[in-house]
Amino acid sequence: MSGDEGRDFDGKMIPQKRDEEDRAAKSNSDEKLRSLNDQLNDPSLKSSVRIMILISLTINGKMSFVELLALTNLGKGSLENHLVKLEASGLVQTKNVKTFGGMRQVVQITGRGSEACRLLLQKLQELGEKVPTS
Amino acid sequence: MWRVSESDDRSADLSAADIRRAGERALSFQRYMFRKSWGVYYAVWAVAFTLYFFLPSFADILGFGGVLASSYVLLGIDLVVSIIAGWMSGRIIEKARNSLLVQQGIRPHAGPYQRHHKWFAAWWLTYILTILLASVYFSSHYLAVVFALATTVTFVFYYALKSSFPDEIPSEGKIAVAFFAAATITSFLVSVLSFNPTIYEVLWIVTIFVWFAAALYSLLHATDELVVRPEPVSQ
Repeated sequence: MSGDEGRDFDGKMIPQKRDEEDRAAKSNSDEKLRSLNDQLNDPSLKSSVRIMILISLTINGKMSFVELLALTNLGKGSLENHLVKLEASGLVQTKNVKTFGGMRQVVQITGRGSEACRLLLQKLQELGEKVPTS
Repeated sequence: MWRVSESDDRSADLSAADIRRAGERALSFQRYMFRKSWGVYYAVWAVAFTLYFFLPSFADILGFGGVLASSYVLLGIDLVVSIIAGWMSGRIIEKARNSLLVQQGIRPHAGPYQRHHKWFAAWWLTYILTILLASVYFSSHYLAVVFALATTVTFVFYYALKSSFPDEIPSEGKIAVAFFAAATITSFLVSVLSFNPTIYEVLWIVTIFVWFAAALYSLLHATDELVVRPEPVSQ
């Protein structure tokens, strides 16, 4: 198949061919959006705060409760609610560890959490410039 | 049903743009996390430099210099320090790599991720093996070999800093790396040309002081990164 098909003598794309390519690109984009929807259909990921926590934990592996408070700007109770949802889905794990300053609550990402975040980022990357950033 | 929309439509529970904003905020917060990590990191390396250069002198002052007279004991200390500091470097580089991967996912215009980090483990193993081999086969030039290797650490520090702070490396980081580069290059030249080692000893005392100061500054000023924050994200 020649690469010149669908082009006129000046190398310009014939409108009908361009429409076909646009439709194919849109269909591809729709497919990726559906895939992202499926990924985010997990109720624990239906919150940008929880997604932010998951992304931060993906980078750091584990974070203290105090650091997560600073990240989210939320109150203790509200953050605890988000963490309970993430923990119930098996995306994070919380534990109390002994430190020099006493007991400290640490939140750690699980293998499942890392995988969910990796897929989410991959889907976002595939969407590329189709989705506005602001 | 909850859907991701291609537009930034607020009627949808959460859009892909919302997710990107959440990611941007996590990345912005990461500067604070890195600043704290680097604070500890500078301090660990400052202790490592102190042990490398001044442990025998401290031991002499404390009256157990005889124990450290054995080159094997000194080699052991060098290796332990290299392993601990190398492990910490690996941790920071791993976090920086994760941060770059997140950036690539949420920023459509981010350049392709460069996988330089995979060379770190190879470099570190080569470093430790060379120290071991130099102690056996080049014992007379051991210091020169160690200093030659140490100059390569400058690039690792710079790479780790640049990966942690892609927008702008904090000033304490630039100063710390510059002093380290000057100290290692001078030490290498002094040991090759057999000049008086006092030259580099003085330089290392200054470098250690600078690294401790960088640690303190980084820890105290980490919260500066929290001052400029984007608007709150929706819950």
